[in-house]
Amino acid sequence: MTAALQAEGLVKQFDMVTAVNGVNLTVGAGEIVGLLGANGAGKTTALRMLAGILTPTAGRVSVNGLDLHANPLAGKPHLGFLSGDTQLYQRLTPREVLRYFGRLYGMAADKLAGRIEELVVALEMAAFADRLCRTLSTGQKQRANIARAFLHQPDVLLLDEPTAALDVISGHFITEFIRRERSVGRAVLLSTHIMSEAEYLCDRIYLLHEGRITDEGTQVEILARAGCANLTEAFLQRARQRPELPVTTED
Amino acid sequence: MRLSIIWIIFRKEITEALRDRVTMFVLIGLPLLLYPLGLLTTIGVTQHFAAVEDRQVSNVAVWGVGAAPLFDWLTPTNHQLKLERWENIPATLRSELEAGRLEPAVKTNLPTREVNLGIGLGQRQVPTAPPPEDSVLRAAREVVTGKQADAVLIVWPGFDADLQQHSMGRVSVYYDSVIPKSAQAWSRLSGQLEGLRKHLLKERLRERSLPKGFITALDVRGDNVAPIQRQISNVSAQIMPFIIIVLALLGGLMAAADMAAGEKERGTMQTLLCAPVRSFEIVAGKFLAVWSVSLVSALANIVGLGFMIWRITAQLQVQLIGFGMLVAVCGLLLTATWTIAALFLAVAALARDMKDAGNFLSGTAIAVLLPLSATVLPGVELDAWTCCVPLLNLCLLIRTLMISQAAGPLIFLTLLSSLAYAGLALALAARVFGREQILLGGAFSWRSFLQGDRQRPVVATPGFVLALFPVVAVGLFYVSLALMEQGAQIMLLGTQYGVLLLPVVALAVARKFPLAQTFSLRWPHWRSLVGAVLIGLTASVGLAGLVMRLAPPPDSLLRELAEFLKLGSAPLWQLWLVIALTPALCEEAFFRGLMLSGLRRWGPGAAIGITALLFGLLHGSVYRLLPTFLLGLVLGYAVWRSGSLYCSILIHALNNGLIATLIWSGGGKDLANQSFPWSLTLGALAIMGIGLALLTGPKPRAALRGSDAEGVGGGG
Repeated sequence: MTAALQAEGLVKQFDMVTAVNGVNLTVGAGEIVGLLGANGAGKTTALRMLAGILTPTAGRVSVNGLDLHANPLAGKPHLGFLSGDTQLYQRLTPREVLRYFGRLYGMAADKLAGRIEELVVALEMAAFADRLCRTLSTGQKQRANIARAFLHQPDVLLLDEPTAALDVISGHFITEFIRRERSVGRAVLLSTHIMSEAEYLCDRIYLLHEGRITDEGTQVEILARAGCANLTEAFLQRARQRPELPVTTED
Repeated sequence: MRLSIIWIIFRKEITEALRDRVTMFVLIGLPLLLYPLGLLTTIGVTQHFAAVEDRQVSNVAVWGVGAAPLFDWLTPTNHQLKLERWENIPATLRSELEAGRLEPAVKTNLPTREVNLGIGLGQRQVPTAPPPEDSVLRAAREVVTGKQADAVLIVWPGFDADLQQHSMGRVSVYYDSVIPKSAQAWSRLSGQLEGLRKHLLKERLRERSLPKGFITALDVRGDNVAPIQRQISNVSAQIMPFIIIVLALLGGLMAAADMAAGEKERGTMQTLLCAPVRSFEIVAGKFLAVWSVSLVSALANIVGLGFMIWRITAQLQVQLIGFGMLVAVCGLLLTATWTIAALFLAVAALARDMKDAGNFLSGTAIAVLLPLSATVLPGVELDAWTCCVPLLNLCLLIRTLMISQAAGPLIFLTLLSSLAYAGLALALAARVFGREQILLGGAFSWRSFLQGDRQRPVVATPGFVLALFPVVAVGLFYVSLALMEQGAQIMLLGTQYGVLLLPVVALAVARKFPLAQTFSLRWPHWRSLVGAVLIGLTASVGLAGLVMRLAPPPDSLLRELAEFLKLGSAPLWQLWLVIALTPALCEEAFFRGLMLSGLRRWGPGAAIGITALLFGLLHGSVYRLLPTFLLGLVLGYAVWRSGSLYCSILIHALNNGLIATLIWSGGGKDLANQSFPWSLTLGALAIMGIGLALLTGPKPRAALRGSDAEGVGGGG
């Protein structure tokens, strides 16, 4: 069966710095896969390449079997990308932001209007959907951002620390929303450095350190290999195995 | 490139821009309010102070004895002057004056004036006393700066006697130019004293029965033939274009900073890059928005400024700028704002945040404005060289239009070069937006900016060939200027091989484009060869017949062209070499070779149409635009259809060669009088049509599919 998202030998070099070095990963439909790493491990760079924002120096990304970088216009509609630091257009309302991106994704006007209403209800945005984004709280903005990422019903979701900087209630709401999306068959790649979040959400995990995958598997497999009781210990153990290497890039 | 996506991005940018009310007010509202308000306030304040000044009486202390004629003249005629004899004079000075021991200074740099009231007919004895002006000056200065009087009028000893003897009566006025009231007193006094001088002269001439011109001797007058409107226009033309370009800069600066650096700072750029849009579509949408804001801001400034000028010129009862001129200026503003918007967008995209953008754009604005200041320098005119200097050429053109001295070819060249620079600026913006590291707020490095794409396209892209065109156009212009003195043949050979063919082929080799595919170097089907021959033999007559009816060029141009094409009575083989074969090879390699292959992904209509239009524009004359455009369409279609550049080379060579032969043989001695009856035109067009229908290729579409990296193939 074709993986919803597949990366093969992914490399990204910025001038003299190699941010991602030979990453291979797959994410299947109806699966939440975690990409765990410390700050600067290369998670954001990897996700940006997987989202088609950055062009890999080497390697290949395929979405539903399509080569993303050879056919970006065909591949991108299958992807939804959400980052914790992504902002919204300050002088537009969430509804206008959704309309804007819906049009960019080529959604038909009636279908788009229906989908926006559906998301406004699902993400409980009715109270602020018509207020300018600059007046929204961080949690409200992140809900609008999620709506934007899910708007075109992508098969693959790339979430880069989506709960960063959120309070407990907003974080929990988003975590549950992601779980629901898995249940409808979406493939989710979740980048995070919050181990508890990964333990709660992820079916499989990739540990990323200094641009390389250091381990992969289910939580049970990783813990068994590391001989640790939890993911934090396992992660630290993997990180200690190459202590001499400095953090390579700002992530 | 999808226009619908560009439109969506443009609309969103404009919506956001319009909601930034503070910026909009500064860019549009303020100029509309500020200029009229400023003018009305200035006029009101000026009028108020003028009225106050008018009502003010100038107090003049008169130091000196006698001077009855002076008092008689000044007192009854001007109530604004109040004369007080001996007012505030030190006692010693008064006694000196009364004793007649003081003489005026022969020359001084101090603000004092000696007014000669008559013509000195005799020589006065100058006393040997030390220069007296120091004591007078000190005393007068004390009085004037102490505001005890506005001015001091010294009547020098012997004044009355001098006037009676028809000699030169002498008075001096001491005033302080820094004190407005004192300067006003001087102004009033000098006017009155000049009137007295003329009166005395007239009296003396009358008494001696001398003719009116006795003193004048020679009446020299200079009559300015320039109407007052033109004189005012000339003064305005020195500064107005500069102001217009500066105004265009202002709007573009803020909009570009917000739409490029602002988007990066707010972290929304990567969201946009996730969407299925091309970077060129993003830059095009944003560029249109920056351009629109810049244009509207500049227009708002022009409207505000226009009101001010209209108000001033209405008082002078002249019309400084007519409606036609206004339209022309606005038209030029389109090009100026285009170039500036694209440049600013590119620079703003290099910045990480708004603060960076402010610094970058301020520097860019200064760099743009410095050369523009040449507009106000004497001797800098619109000529063959300056019409190719970006933005300065538009400034000079506006100035030239304002004083109605613009020449058609220079206007055309200015617009052409401006379009070329605008295209370059847009290409620069597209290049910046194509750099992912720059767009995502990474550190800017010239290395990553200047280096080629990591994955080079297999063939030339539309952006590449469209950016190349202005470079070639400007290169052609300067090389032809440099070679002009070497004669027409050298100039043609130099520009064709030196600018069009060799650099273009070298570039294609350097970029590792497949040469056979890029230049359509395929042997054509025999039917295509026959078709090309038919087209080549009839295109000149058929197209000329059409053009002569649709847009007949002036006779003078036709004669000049015919003269040029004869290349100074060169032999026929030389004409064929220089006029026919060389352009056929060089122009076809560039236009139907590299450019057409670069534009293929936009489909046959756009690729052939744009190539033909640029081909027409490169011929540098508005009258030659239509025929060369039509010929370009035919040539482009021939290559598209046959898949072979050889066909268009053959058509081009036959077309040019036949015209050259016609002129050489004398048959076309006077092109202006050539008749193109309908029968001949239609016959030629019919044969041309047969030729076009014959065009075919063994696999005309195979090359197209292979050349299109995105699979957007063209048919034909």
